[in-house]
Amino acid sequence: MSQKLSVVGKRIIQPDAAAKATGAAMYASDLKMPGMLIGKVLRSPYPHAKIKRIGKSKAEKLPGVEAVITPEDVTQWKPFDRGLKDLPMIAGGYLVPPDEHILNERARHFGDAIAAVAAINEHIAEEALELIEVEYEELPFVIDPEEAMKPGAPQVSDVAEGNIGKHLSYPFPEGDVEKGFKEADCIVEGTFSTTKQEHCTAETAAAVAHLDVNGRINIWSQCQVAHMARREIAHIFNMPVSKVKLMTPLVGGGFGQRGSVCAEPICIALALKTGKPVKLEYTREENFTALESRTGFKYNLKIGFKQDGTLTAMQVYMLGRLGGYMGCGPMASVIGMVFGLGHYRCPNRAGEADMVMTNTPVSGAFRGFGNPAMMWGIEQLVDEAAEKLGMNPLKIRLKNIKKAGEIANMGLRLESTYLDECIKRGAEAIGWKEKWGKKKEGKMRRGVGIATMTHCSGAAPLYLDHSNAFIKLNEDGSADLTVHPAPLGQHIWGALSQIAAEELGILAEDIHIVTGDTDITLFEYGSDASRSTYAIGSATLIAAHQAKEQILERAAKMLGVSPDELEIKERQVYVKANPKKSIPVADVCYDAIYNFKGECLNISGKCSWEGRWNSSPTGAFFAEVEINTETGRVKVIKFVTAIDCGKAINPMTVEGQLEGGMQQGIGYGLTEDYIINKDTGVVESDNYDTYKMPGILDMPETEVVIIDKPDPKGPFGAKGVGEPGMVGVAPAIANAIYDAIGVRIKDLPITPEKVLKALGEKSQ
Amino acid sequence: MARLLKPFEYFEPRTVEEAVQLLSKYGHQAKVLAGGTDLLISMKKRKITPQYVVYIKSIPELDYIHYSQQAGLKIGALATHTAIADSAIIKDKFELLASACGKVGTPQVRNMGTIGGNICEGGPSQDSVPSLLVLEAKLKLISLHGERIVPIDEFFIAPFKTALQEAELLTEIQIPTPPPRSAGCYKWFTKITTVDESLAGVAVLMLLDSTDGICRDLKIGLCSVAPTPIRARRAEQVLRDKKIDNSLIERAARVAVEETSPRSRADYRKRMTGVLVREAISETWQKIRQLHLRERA
Repeated sequence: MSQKLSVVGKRIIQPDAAAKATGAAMYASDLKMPGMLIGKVLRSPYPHAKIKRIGKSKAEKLPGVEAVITPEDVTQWKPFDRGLKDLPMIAGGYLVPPDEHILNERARHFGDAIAAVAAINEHIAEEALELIEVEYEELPFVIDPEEAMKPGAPQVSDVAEGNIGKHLSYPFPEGDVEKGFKEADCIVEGTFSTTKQEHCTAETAAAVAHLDVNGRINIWSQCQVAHMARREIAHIFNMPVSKVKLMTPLVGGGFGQRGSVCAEPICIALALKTGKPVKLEYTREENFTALESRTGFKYNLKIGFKQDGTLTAMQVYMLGRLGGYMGCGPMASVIGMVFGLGHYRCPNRAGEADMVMTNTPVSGAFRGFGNPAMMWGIEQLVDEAAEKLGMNPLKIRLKNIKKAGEIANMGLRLESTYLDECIKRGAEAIGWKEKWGKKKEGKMRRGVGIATMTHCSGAAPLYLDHSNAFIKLNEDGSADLTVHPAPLGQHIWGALSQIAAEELGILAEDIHIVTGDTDITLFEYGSDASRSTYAIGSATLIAAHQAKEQILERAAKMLGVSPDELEIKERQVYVKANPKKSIPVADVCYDAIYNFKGECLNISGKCSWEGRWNSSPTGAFFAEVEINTETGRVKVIKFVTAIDCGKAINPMTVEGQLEGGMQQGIGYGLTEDYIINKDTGVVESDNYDTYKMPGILDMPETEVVIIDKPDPKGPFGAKGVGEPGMVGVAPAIANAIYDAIGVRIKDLPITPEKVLKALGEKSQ
Repeated sequence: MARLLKPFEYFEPRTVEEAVQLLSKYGHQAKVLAGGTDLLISMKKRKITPQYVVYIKSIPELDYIHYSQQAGLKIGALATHTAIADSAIIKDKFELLASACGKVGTPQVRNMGTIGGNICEGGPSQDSVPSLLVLEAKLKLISLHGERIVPIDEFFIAPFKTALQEAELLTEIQIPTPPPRSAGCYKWFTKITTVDESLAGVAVLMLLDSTDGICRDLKIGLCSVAPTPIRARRAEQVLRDKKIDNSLIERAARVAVEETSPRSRADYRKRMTGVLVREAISETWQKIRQLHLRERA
């Protein structure tokens, strides 16, 4: 596919960039309405406690307080599943039962919602919280999944007997792993553990709700899956879907955390109780403890290889910590196995997972879902095998990566892959040949490491993958594109504008995005699974194509030629054979709308798109690290991500995604740790003073290599690139550490203490 | 953490006298606000809910850095970390203090936060304190009853508990000029990331005889490794009046480690204290020898 492109592939400035840079952009937290109340939530200070009594009269009497609600005030509304995973998953086949109320009579984790208030201002709302008297009966609690699985452990949830939330299997098992391991010349295995990384969205969870004059719930929600959130909200509040209008403002970061409902249910409950608009904006601590963060795992992984490095078998058993409610956590294990066990060509594969309920804040989806967790172990074991087999880490990977046409991780055809080029070009950029495997001496030691990954472009075929786009041409030749991705900072509006403009032969700036209102937008599954550019982009491309055909048909009549003799370039319809003969797109559109010859038409196109294929983005990650062997401190000196995301619609945003992924990945690898006190169940790292993301001074020199070769299925050859950026960062760092000092750290994060301990053990 | 502060009555005195009158009137219900980088967080966390807040940045005469050879360095309690870190005279003659103040927080925190506030917070991890300990700073405390001068090593009693009395205000930090041919430095490791609280901080001040290479005096100040910032006095003894060599430095570092009593990450903090003490002494020793070479040249 060698198309001459004039808009796609260009580094255009995003439509909302100036507003964001100047602070003019409006987020949920900026919204104000006349008479709007401020909501606040009272949260459990205990990991597991029964609410014996709540005294709310003092709070209610405080002037300015308009509502105080407790668990008994919300019983008319239905329990729900915050992860919106009550729809059947096609593979893996499980449903999450509704296991949570808007407010809960039994706190199942530190930070669980007990009561809420709405008051005329934040000050009074905060004061009112302090006036609510709660008598708790502390219950025995369990933090650790292994403890939770033991007989006699405290029961966390009513829907998980023995605390096993879900037992899940790898949906694409293959061959016979026993046989595969028998055939292996080299078997590597290990136990790896990963952390409950927090999303650290720039904006905390926020929602604004009110009941309008027509008795409809109006909710401004940050949810990444707006239409599914509308459906869930209607269900919770016993309303038909038509009575809920969900609006999506700009969202200050989602990373999967906003893939679940967050502040919406409590916010709406307060609005319904008071009959007034209510804003509910979480504090940073609430963002840490009330919402989902990454699902932490401990898993045993075993991989077999032939003497020549060929994979013979892969097997994993995962133990995951869900928290007090089930949320999106169970799926993290399935997705992890799908991506991890499906990454390399391997004839014998099996995986099982126990996802365990604990009295800890809920686990869920986070950029990459289970992929970063699984590749953390797989890519370390592949390196271990390479060493045993006397192979170069690059070579063993090149030997086992899949080729286009094979079955991909998601069980569909691997449409395209340039992972071999990612490995080769990334290795050049990091200086692999000069740096890897060299003898290291002295206090400061450097090393380089690699990790690879395959991800997805959308949820097909595991989950509903339904997107819609509608486009109409205005009389001036501009177009309104109606779509509903979540604007999370990934600049999806720009990418979709480029796709539509390229197809229509107009400029990206001619596209106006109509979005963010379920009254207007067609159904949209939403922005997760790295799918917006790919899936919504595909719908956009087809819709734009329909509109283009209408333009060409009418232009052909006006120019007295047939439509296939025409092309559109830079807002002008040309006769290909005679470019002097042309007509502006605007004239065609104007003539179609203001047509007094009985041929009125608003040129438009509409597409309902359902993913029947899934093009996998692939990538190779390279870290160069320096370790101080005296302090155990690891510094990432340089990081290279080489990405095969198909055709980069806008290279600038691809770079942004990947650089952001490096920062998140370095945090996952080295600095971020969600600490829950084992004795009290209290979350100790609930703000940025105790939970440390890498800052600008911790960042290495970064380099992004975009292979930029089109995929046959994606719109203009694009594949997803939202999540891949962080998947391989931590294992690349771990492998670089091994190259530098010869020790392997298998539990995240890699702290100086662990490095020193490993160095000590090695020298013994 | 709440987003808003509890209501309180707020004062902006114009003079030290007015300020101490307010403090004396309201006693433990009053809190002094300077840069606010510690106090406001404690108030939002509801660790402190003062009924009266006395803002002292309204007293301009408390913000100064004065130096003379005889009187030494005098720093007003309201001098910000940025002002101290950027001061030419402090960088020249009290470099260890400049680098300690340059380590505190972030640029925003350093622009707001004051040295007086850093000291009065009284926590174990106040970065400015180890340098002040080894420089043998004295603190001028003023109350309605007059003023008293307290040596800084008598100021810290327990975590977040100092010798400052209820109605007293710290107004000045007095630092004698270190003897000629002395040098010092402040070294630290952060807890996790580059901009982060100190895991351990070590200040060293050394006086070396250029004729015989004997260490005439050595002071070691530590923060974040004990309930309060401390002097590692036994480690100082290891080198004092000795001819310095690397094995002696190693020994001093080992002794310093024994003097610490960290609470969290204890093993690692102890180990890193050893590394820092060794590095700080070695670096200071190098500096001093350079100084001597320059003098001879």
